[in-house]
Amino acid sequence: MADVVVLKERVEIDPDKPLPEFDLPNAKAFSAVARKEGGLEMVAYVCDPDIPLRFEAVEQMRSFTGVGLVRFVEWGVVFWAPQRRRLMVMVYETPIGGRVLRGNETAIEPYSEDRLIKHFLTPVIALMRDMSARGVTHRAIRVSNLFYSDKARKHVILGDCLTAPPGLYNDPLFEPLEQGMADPSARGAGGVGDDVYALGVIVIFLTLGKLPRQTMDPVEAINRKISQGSYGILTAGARIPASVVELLRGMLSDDPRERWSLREIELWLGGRRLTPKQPKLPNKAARPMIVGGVSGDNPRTVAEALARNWLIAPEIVRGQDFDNWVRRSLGDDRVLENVNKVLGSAAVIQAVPEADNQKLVTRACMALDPPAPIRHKGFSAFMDGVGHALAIGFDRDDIRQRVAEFINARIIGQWMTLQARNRSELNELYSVIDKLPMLINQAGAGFGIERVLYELNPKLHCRSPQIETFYITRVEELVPALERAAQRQDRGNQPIDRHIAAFAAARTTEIDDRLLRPLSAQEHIGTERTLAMLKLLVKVQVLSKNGPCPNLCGWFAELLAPAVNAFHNLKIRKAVELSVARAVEGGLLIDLQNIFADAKAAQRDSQGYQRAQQEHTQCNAQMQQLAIEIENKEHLATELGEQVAAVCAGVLGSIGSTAVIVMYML
Amino acid sequence: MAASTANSAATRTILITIIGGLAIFTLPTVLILGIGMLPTLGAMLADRRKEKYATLCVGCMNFMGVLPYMVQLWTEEHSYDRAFQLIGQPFTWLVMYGAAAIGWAIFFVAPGVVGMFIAMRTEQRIQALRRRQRELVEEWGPGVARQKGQDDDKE
Repeated sequence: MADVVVLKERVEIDPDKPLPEFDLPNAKAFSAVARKEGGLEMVAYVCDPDIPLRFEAVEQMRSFTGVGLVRFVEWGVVFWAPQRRRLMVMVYETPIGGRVLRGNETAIEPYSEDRLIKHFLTPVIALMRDMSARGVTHRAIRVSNLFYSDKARKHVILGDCLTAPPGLYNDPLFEPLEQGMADPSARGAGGVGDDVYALGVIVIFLTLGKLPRQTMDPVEAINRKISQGSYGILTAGARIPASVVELLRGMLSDDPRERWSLREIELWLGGRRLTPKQPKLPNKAARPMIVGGVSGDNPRTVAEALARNWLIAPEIVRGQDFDNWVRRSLGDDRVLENVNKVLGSAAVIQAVPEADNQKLVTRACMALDPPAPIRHKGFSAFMDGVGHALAIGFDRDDIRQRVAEFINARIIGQWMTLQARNRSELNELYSVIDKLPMLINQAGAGFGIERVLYELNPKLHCRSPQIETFYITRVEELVPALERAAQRQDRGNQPIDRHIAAFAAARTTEIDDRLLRPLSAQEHIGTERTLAMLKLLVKVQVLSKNGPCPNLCGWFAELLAPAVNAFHNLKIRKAVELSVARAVEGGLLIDLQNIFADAKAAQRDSQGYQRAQQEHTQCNAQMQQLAIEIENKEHLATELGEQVAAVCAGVLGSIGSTAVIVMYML
Repeated sequence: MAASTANSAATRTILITIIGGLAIFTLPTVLILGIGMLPTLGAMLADRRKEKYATLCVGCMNFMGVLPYMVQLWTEEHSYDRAFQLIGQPFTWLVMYGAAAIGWAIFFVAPGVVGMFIAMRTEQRIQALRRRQRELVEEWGPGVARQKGQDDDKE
C-alpha cells in the first residue's frame, strides 16, 4: 500500500487508485484530489519517461480557463513509489461524463446539427481561438481523446494534449495530408489548420455516431487523399447531413490555404451558409511517372513514391525521363520553378556526386511537394519533429542513425526556402539545427547524438542511466541528482557519462569546449579524465549555487585515490589525504578540485622521488665502499700507522732534541 | 738519465767527503754517535720498506737519547776519555737504547691505534648513511629503497 503522493502541496495522488478508463497510450491515470478546491476529483497522468512532454505548451495551458477542454490543474515531478523513481505527473480535472467511447465501443448516438453546434463545436472553436491566441496547438484531437464534461454525457470536450508530442498517437488517416506523411513521432507542432482538420474528423464522428473508416494503410491513405481528397476518403460514401457538408469540406480541405480558418468556422456557426466547395485535386500530368511500381500522375504522389522507394530513387531522379516528366509532361510552373531552384538542370543533376544521391532524392521530393515533411532516407519529419523522434527512439540504433543522417544532410535550409510562410519559432529552431552537424560529428563526451538530443529537446530530462530515475530537466538539478546517485550501491564507474556531459553542455552556455574536450581527450586517461569531470561539475555547482554534496565528493575522492597514492612523498600524501577528507566532509567540489589544482605538484614529487632514489643508491654504494675499507682496515692501518708513527717519532724527537739543547745551553 | 745519475753520485761523494772531514775532527762525538745509534742501524737493516718508516721512527727517538751525551761531550770536554767515560756508564746506554726502544714501541703501537681510529670513523660514517637512508624511506616510502629498474618492473 503506497503512500499518497502530494504534488506541490496542492494535489494528492493515490497510487492505489488507478483509473484505467482514463489511461492514455503513454500515461497511466490515477485518482487525485485537490487540497484547496473542495476536494475536487481529479485525474493524474503519470507520464512515460520515454515520451517527451509538450513543455512549451504547459504554462499556457495551465492558466487556461476556457471550456471545451479538460481543465489542466497542475504538473510537476514526484517520487512515484510503485516504480521507485521520479516521474512527471500532469493533473486534470476529471471529466465527469467519462470517455466518449468507453471500452471497445466504436459508435455513439449521432449528434444532430443543433447538438453538434451547441455541445461541441461552439465551445471547442472558442477553445481553438483562445489557444491560437496563446500560440499553442492541441494536436491530440482524436476520437479516443474525447470526453463528456457532464453527467448527462452531452457536452463533448477534448482531452489531454500535453503528455505526448503533437500528433504522436493520431492515426495517419485522420491527420492532414502533410502530417500523415511524416513519421508519427516527427510531426512537429503543426498549426491551427491541423487541429481544424482533426476537428473535421470529429465532426464526422459525432454526426454519424461513428467513423466510416476506422483505419487504413498509411500509404494507401496518403495516395487516395492526394488523388480523391480527404473528404471523400474520410466520409467513405456515408450519408453526411447536407447541413454539415459545407463545414466538413472546408475543414477537411487538403490544401492548407483552402482549409477553413477559425474565423470561417465561426461565421458558419453564426449561421452563414455557402455552397459547398469542391475538393481541389492536383493537376494531372500528361503521362504518369512510374516509381517503384507506383504510377504517379501528380507531383505529390511521385514525391511520396520517391521518398518511400529511396533506395532506387536516385537512379530515377538522375534519369532523363524524370527531367522530361517534370519539364514537359507535368506542366506545373510552380513545381518547375522549385525543381530549378533546388535541383537545377538535368546537367547539374548529373554532376551531383554519387555520395549525395540521397540528398538529391530529398531535394527532388521537396521540389515536387514543398509543404510535405522533409523525407530523407526513409525518415520523414518536420523540422520541429526531429527532436521528438530522436527522444522517442533514442534507444534504437536505426532511429539514431536516421536522425544523424538527416541532420548531416543539411537540407532543412532548402526546405525552408520553398515554404510559402515559415513560423518565427521555426527560424529560431533552424539556427539551432544549423549548428548541429558540427556537434554531431565530434566523438567526445558532450557531443554526438546525445548532444543533439538535448539541443533539440530543451526541456527533456537527462537520460543518463546514472540519474535517469531522478528526472532532472534543469542543469541546476544535476549536482543534487549525482549526489543522490553517489549514495547508491550500484552506481556507475564514473559520475559523468556522455548523456550528462551533453545535457550540461546543452542546458548552459557556460559549459563549453574547454570543459568538454578534456573529458574524452586521448591523452587524458584515468586521473586526468576524472579531474576533467570534476572541473565540469565544479562549474555546474558554482553556477547553480548548489549546496554541499559530500557523497559526490566521496565518489570523486575514491576515483582520485590513485592520484593521491601516486604521491611518493609520504608527508605530502598524508597531507593530501587529509585535505581530501576535509573536502569530502565539506561537500564542495571546488575544494576537492583545488587540492589537485597544482598540476606541477606531481611532477615535483616525481623529481624529488627520483633524487631520493639516487641518494639512497649512493648511500648504498658508499656503505659498500666503507665495508670494503673495514675489511682492508689492517692494511690501511699498517700503512697509515707507520706513517703516523714516523711523524710522531719525528715530532717527539725534534721536541726532545730541542729541549736537550735548550737545557744544556741555559 | 745518465747525467742525473752522475750528478747524484757527485753530490753523494761531496757529502761523504764533508762528513768524513768533519768526522776526523770530531772523533769522540763520532764514537758516542756510532755506539749510541746502533739500534738505528739495526732498524735500518731490519726495515724492508722503501719509505724506511721504522728507521725514521727509531732513529728520531734514538737520536733524542744520544743527543744529551753529545751535548755533554761538547760542553764539558770533547775527548776520548770523556767519551769512554760516558759510554762506560750504564745509564747512558739505558737512555740511548731506551729512547730507541720507545721509537720501536711507537712504531709497533701506532698502526693499532690508527686501525682503531679508522674503524671508529668508518662506523660513524656508515651509521650516518644508514640514518640518511632511514630518513629517505620515512619521507618517500619503502619504494625509494628499490632500484629504478625494480621500481619500473613493479609499476
